[in-house]
Amino acid sequence: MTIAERQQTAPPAEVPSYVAIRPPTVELIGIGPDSALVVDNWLWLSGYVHHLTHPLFALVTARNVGSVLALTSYSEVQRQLAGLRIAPEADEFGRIRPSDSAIAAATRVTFSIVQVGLEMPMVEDVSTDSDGAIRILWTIGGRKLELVCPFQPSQRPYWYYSDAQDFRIEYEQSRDVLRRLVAWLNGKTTAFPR
Amino acid sequence: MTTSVPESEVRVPLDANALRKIRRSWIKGRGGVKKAAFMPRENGNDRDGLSVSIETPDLAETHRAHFDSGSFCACVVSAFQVRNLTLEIVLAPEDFDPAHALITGIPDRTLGSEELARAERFAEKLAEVATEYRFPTP
Repeated sequence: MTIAERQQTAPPAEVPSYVAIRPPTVELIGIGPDSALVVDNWLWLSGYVHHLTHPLFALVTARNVGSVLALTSYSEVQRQLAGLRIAPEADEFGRIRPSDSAIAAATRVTFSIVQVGLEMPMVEDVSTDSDGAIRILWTIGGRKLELVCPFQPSQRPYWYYSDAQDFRIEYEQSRDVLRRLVAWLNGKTTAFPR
Repeated sequence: MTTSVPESEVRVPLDANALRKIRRSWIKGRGGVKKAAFMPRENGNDRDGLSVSIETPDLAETHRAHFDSGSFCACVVSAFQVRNLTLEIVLAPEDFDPAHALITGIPDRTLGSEELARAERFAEKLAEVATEYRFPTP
């Protein structure tokens, strides 16, 4: 594996400078707080902070630029989850620090977005509520998609999504549901997902 | 922290402002408020309503001491905005805070997914109209 120099032309604004855009046959290694490593047609992903605490090295296929954006969003989620992992355990409202099971669920679901190759926009917010549930929010225009991962392992993660007129909760985490929700979020389908 | 049940529901005037104590981390970068600030707790402690205090000049110092410290701050919604969402806001005085009130009408999220979805929606709508509150300088 060789280390490629960062490309000379500036990448799109929404892509961190350490993620270069090159044809998929070119080896690329990004170095930074989060790293995106592209080798031939494969994309190796490791959030640097996450990697320090969890020796996990994930392997996904880079299918298109959309998946690079999803990867960037995923890296940002991982960075913010790492911050929550060292937050105070609780305050007078309740829990602040999420449970390991909630972090695992959030990681699993957000990573599956990258795996499927969906065009996920940059995450807007990653935080916990007073029950210690992780809330990860993406918004485009008036459409909001939120992944909620409860503190207790016995409670299932769910999606809450809404626009100006409608709102719904979805517990199913299948790839088909993911595709439908992300397509709606991106405005590729106008019908509210049911 | 538990909320008290009002003995007789006294509606708050439409022009009143309701202050809610929240985590400072629930304030968005541009001064908005995150939805988590208005989500009822899953243990049912907010079944009676979400705790707020009616902005009262004579109690400003008491409220400042209670709301605005360390990692906590206050956000504000008006009674008009609350009622506009089909919720209610009623006085529920407490010994330490005679201006204490409750935002009521939010479904009990512990009853099922339908109620949880509606509680999420109300939290979202309340957060959309809420803004960070800055206490007047003495």
